[in-house]
Amino acid sequence: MQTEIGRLLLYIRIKWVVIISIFLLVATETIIGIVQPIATMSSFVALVIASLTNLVLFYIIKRKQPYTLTSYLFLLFDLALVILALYFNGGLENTWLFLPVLLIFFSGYIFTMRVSLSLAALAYAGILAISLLEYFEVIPHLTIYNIQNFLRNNLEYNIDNLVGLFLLYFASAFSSGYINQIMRNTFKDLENSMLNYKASQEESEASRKALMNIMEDLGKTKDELEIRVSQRTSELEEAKTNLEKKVFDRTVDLEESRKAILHMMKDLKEDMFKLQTIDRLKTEFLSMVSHELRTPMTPIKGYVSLFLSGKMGSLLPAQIEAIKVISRQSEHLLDLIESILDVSRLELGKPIPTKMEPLSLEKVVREVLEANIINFENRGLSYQLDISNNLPTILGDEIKIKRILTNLIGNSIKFTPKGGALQIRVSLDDSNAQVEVSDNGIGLAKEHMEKIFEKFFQVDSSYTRATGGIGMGLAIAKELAELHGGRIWAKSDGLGKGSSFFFTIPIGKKGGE
Amino acid sequence: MAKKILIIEDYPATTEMIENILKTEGFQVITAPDGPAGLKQARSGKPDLILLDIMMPEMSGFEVLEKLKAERETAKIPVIIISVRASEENIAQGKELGAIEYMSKPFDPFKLVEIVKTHLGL
Repeated sequence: MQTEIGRLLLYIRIKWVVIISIFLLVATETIIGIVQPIATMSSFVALVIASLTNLVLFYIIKRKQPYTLTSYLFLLFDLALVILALYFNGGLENTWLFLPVLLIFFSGYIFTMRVSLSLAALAYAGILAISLLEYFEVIPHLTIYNIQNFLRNNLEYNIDNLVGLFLLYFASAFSSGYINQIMRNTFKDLENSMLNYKASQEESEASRKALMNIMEDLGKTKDELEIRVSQRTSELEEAKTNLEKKVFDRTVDLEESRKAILHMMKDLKEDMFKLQTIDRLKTEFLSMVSHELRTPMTPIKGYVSLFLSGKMGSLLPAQIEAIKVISRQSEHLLDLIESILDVSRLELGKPIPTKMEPLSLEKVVREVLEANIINFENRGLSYQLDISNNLPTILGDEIKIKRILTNLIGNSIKFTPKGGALQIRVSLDDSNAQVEVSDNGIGLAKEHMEKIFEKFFQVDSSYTRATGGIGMGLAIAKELAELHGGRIWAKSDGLGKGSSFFFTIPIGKKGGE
Repeated sequence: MAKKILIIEDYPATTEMIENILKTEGFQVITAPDGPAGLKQARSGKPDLILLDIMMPEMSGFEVLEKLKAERETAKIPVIIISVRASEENIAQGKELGAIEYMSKPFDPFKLVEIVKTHLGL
């Protein structure tokens, strides 16, 4: 429709040109005076009408969408006007019979070939009708050049003229219609191309916009990322600085610790060396002391023996008793000295000298018990001896075995309350003679069962003073039993339930060496 | 004639005690407080038996014994060692050097008398 409006406007413009041209021509002819007044008049009337219709059409087009029918009607009206104007201007006489061609051509150009053909047919029909009506004198011939009986006198010319007009009208109808079709198709193609181009342009615009958005987003994201990265970087930088400081501090601390440890190690080494020296000195001192103590014991024991022998004169019974006490106490003192000596030997790792010889265990046991009679009496204790009949001679150091027995019996006496009883049992199995010393004394706690055989161990240190021990008795007894290839152990049902001590000596074997 | 016994001992109370008991048993006793004096006494006094201590200042009993056995005049005098040191090594050393007996201190004085008498054939 848009194109039709454009073509209608072009039609209006050309029509103005035609109107002005005809006006100038008619005016010129009028001034010259070669045409009839009626023709001039009708021409002016037609020009005025044509101008008015042109204005109306222009007005319609500008004001609103024109209907195709309106356009048809205007074309038909113009055609009718042109035909009528031609009739009043001499009919076939007039050379402007080509004028309808403009209308036919435009109708084809504006609308379709069908319209232009219809218009061509109508125009020709109009011209033919006027010619026939004038020929048969139904209507008068209005000559412009003052020619009488134009049709009848110039029949051949007029027929040729009509045939030529026919060809002219239809040729213009065909050609305009054809041009219109070509133009329409071209225009359609162009329009399609335009549409396609527009669509693709829109599409690319949309894509561009999307791309721009994405770019913008990316830009924003990049900025955010840069900010974050810079934040993180500064955080990391800070952390790194802190870490470096910490590491430095720690290194300093470590260096100090290392120095302190080295210092401590040096001190420890010195301490250890001092301790070792002290320990060695102690052991040497023990050895020395025990030997030195034995020296004054020699004259003491010697004089006691002399007194008791009566070779230094007779003594009163009370004096003899007193000397006997000195004798026993000096024996006890010697025993303690001997223990110290044994301890110093244990400490030094020196072998305790032994003198292995065949001996009767029964005899040894009886002698130790006899030597302790006074202690049993003093403590108000009784004892029972139970010796196996078939006891063989054993190989051992009498003094050492006596010391084991003395220690065990001494302990039982110490730790059994007044009125208690001891049982000494000597028995035999396949390879060992076993001596058991049991009492119904204070007993032993389970946790002390092993510890009592350790050096200087005392269940209760107050006993040390009360009973005169040094906490070495059982350690020495253990050492001595093992020296004979035997062993020593203790049993007890608990505190207050008495205790039993056992030691074994292998039969017929010379153990320990 | 009473047998003469030399006591070489640095601890006076012990010397005195032994001297005392030996005299009651009828022996003649001479004494020396250390090794060098003991050697002199052994040479000049011509004792029948020597009781020798080991732990002495200046010269140990073993050195004295060695010298006694090295000299012709004193080599045949029987020597009994009396010492607080009575380990197997000590005893072995003493016997090797020529001591006839090794007694551990303190000892029963009458046992000493018994041993002395045995070795003198009394």
